[in-house]
This record gives sequence, structure tokens and C-alpha cells, in this order.
Amino acid sequence: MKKYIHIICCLVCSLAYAETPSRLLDGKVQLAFGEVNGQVCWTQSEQEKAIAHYESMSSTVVFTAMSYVPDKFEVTLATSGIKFDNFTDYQRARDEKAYLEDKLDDLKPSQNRKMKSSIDFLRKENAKR
Amino acid sequence: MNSMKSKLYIAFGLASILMVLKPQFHFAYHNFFFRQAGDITGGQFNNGLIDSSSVTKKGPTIDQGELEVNSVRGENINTGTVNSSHVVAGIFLRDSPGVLRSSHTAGKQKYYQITIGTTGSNPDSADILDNGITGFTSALVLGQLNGLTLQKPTTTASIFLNPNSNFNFNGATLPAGVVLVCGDSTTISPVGVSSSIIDVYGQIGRLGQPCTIDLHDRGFTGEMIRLRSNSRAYLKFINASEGNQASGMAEVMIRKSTNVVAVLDFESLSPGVQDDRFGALAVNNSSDVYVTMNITTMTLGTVGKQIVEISSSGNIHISGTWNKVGGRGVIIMGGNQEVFVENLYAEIAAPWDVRGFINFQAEFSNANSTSTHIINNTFFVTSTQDSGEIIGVANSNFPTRSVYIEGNRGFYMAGGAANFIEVESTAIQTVIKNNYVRGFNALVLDSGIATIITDNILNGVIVP
Repeated sequence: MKKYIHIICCLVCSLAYAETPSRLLDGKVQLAFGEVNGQVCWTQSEQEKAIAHYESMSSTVVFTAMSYVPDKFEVTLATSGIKFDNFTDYQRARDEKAYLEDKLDDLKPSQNRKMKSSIDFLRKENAKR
Repeated sequence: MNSMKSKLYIAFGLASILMVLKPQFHFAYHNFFFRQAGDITGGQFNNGLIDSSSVTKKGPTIDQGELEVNSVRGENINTGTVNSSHVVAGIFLRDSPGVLRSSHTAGKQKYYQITIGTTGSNPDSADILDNGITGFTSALVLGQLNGLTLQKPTTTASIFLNPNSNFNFNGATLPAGVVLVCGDSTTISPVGVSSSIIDVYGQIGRLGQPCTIDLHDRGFTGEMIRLRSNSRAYLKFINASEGNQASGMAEVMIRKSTNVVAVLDFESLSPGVQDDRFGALAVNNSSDVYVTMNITTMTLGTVGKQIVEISSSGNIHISGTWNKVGGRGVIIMGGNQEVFVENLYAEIAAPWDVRGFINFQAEFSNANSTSTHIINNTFFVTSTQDSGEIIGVANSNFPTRSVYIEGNRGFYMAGGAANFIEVESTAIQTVIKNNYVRGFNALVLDSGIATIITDNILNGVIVP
């Protein structure tokens, strides 16, 4: 029997400074990979597993799946090596201009040196906000 | 005088000859001279010489002040002779073995110790012979306790269930101040799959001497034991299989109660496969509850199986030793303040709920929970699972505030992608401190609001 599966796949590009679902895993930022029927998937394999689950439910199934493409600012902030005390700390750095500015200013010289390109990019983007 | 002697000699001579010729005369002769008290038959007064109505026959008397008895059982005592002011508590008067004298039941005396045996057992083994609810109610009636709940009786009373006996109760009530003690190898079982066994306002079992509740693996759906305010319970459950309980039910239910202390040993536990609610123990709308719960074995394999749930309650303490468990260990619903899951050792040997072996689901109570303490527990994980976490502070429209996750130890023996703690986005100010874990993918997955994470160690490294 032929399966009639309707999958709506779309790429959602995060707007500048818009939120891609994220979380902190032992201090490291994780950005969501995608979503299946509103359920956030944190990795590609998680998303594939979720899609397979819906496909196996019945011969006819309707679900939505989409992938996130996080903004470069988010990706840089998440991977810059800046230490975040908790998720709120990361969120504020992402969303509040002054908070991020302070955080960048408080970095040790050695961290500034090691992460120079990321820090420069973040300072530049932050100034635009 | 000589002639008298001569006559006696002649009499003895004749008697001797008779004893030789007729042996039966020997006995008559013996009895004539050597009478025993038991051989004396009642005679009659010669009314011409004595007025019999004026004669009083007396036995030995004991002053009441000298008589100290702990327990006396009288048989066939005429009720009319008992002066209620002289009755010693604990005396039972029985018209015939096993049957209490109706005229000496409630209202006449105070009974402190009442023994119940099973129907048809040795009449001398108990005061009441009925292993059903009727026997239990009769015991309460004797103690002037029937119908009491929270109101303490005027005296301490205990009801003893005979050893090696099986009792079947449904809808029993143990009043405040009354202790139900179970003999060795005695079990109490419910009558129907949905009816309760007993509501406890007093004390059931004793520390080190628990009452055994045998549920016969019949898939019970009702609340087997209800622990009410001020109750104490020392219970051992065997063959404890649940059916699919209705929402709001658990084998041991503490609802709208305060000051409850319980030690619950589940020798075998098979929780029902329900979606989210209830299980072996549920605490709802209650306060000041201290439960030590031990599980020897649990039927494994379904993550929907649930052990403890707490909702809308305050100052609740759960601890114990759980061997080879899985599913949902403790679910903390909404509306709680000061819940403590502490000093719990749990060997998780089966898949557990991806939302957490200990997790928060405030949405079911539509209220926030504040100040929950998950402290000094050990989670020894022998099952393998690549998703979910051991402690999950979950999302809800009713945010969970101030969860203290402190001093716990977690050992993921097989290792895997599962995390030890997850704090989801609506959780406010969760404190994660001084936890020591090994084998997990991460110590904490944090999406919460202002989570405080400090001094934790994962795989020998301090977690940032």
C-alpha cells in the first residue's frame, strides 16, 4: 500500500538577533537543529528519529518538519568560548547590548587574544544593535 | 467393757471371713473406714434441727486491693454478679468459648487488648473469631472505639491480629490512639479490587513489626491504605500489582492529612501502566509527612510505571532504598512547598521516563511548586538509555521555583547520552550544587531562568 505522507519542510533562517532555540550543556551553548511537529530537535539524528517515528505511525500521516539556520551572531556567541554561568547569562548576552558589552570588556587578555576574531565580530555586531 | 471388746473381735472375725468369701465386701469395708472428700455426697439438713435458710456456705475471699490481674477470662459468669465498678479492664466474659457475653460489651467496660482470630480457629486463641470486617468492627465496638476517627479514645487500646492468619478487610477505620498489631506471618488483604482496606487514624503495625498487606497480584485499582492525620504506619506489601488506577489513586494514599509517619516496604511492586498519575504512594493536599519507602523488586520495563507522586502539599519527606526500579520514581506536581526527596538510594535498572526519574509536572495541579529539595540521594543506573535525565525540572505554565539539587551522587554504570539533570525554560532559580556524577553525558542541561550551578563534579572534573 502506497503511503501518503505529507511533509512540509522549510528552512527557517533566523533573523538577526532573533532566537534559535538554545540551551546550555555544562556551560556550552547548544543551538537547536530543527523541529518536528513543534518538538525541538537538538541534533540531526534526533530530527531524523522524530520523522521516522511519525512515518511509522500510520499509512497516512501529516506532520511538519523544519530546520533552523541560526544567525552568524548567535553561532559566534555560542562558540566563542565565552563562559556563561547559566542559560540566563547566555540569553542576556545574546539579547542585551550593554550586558554583552560588559561581558566582552570583562574577558581576560588571554581570552581576548585566543578568541580575537570572534570577539571582534561580536563587538562589531553588538555596536549595530 | 470386755463384752464390748468381745463383740468387736467377733465383728472383725466375721468381716475377715466375708472378705475371703466375698471379695466385693472388701471395697465396701475400705470405703466405710477411709472416706475421700470426693466420695461424700450431699446430704440433707434435718429441718427439725437446723434452719437451712440461715446457713451460709463460705469460700476463701480476696480483697480487691490484693488482686492484680493483667488479663482474666471468665467463662459462664453470671452477669448479675459482676459489679461494673469492680471490673478490671481487659477482662472478657464469655457465655461460651469464642462468644463474648453480649451484656458486657460496649458501655460496660473498657478493653485495652483485643485479639482477633480467624473464623473457625481455636476459640481459646482469640476474643473474636472473624477474619473479615465484621470481626474488626466487633473489636472496635468492644473497645468503645467504633465510629471514632480523629477523636482520641479515653484510653489506649490495641487490637492484635493472631499469627499465621489471613484477614480480609474492606472499608475498615482504625481510630486515633488505637494500635493494630499483626502477629507473625499474618496478612491483611482487600476484599475487592477497587475497595480500600483501611483508613488509618491510629497506628498500623509497629517499627520492626510491620503488618503485611498481601494484594495477591490482582491488579488493584483502589486506594488500599489511606493514611489520615496523625497516623503511623509500618507496612510490608507483597504481591503488589496495580491495575490501571483512576486519576488520583494510589496503593497508599495520604490526602488532606497532616503529621503522618510511614515506613513502607514493598517486597514486590508492579505499578500500573498509567499515563502520568499516581502509583504506589501519593501525597495530596497534606503536610508534615515523613515516608521511608523501601522497594525490594519492581516489575520493570514500562516507563509509564510510577512510584511516588506529590501534589499541593508542604513539608513532605521521602527517603528509602529502591532496588531495581525504573519508570517514574518521584513526580512532583504543582502546588508544593518544601518537598524533600532526601537520602534515597535508587538502583535504576530499567528505562526511566525521559522527563526524569525524578521530575516535575506542575501542569497537572495547575499550581506552582516552590522550594523543593532533592538532596543527598544516590542514583545508581545500570540500565542503558540515551535520552532523558535522572532529575528533570520540566516546563510548565506554572513555573517551578527554587529547586535545590544538592549533594547527590549519580553513577551511570553503562554510560551513555543521558544527562543527570535538566532544567527546562520555565524553571526559576534552580540551585545545582555539590553534586558528584560519573558516566553521564552532562551534569546539567540548562534552559532555565537564573539557574545557579556551582561546585559540581562530572567524571572527576569540576563542571563550569
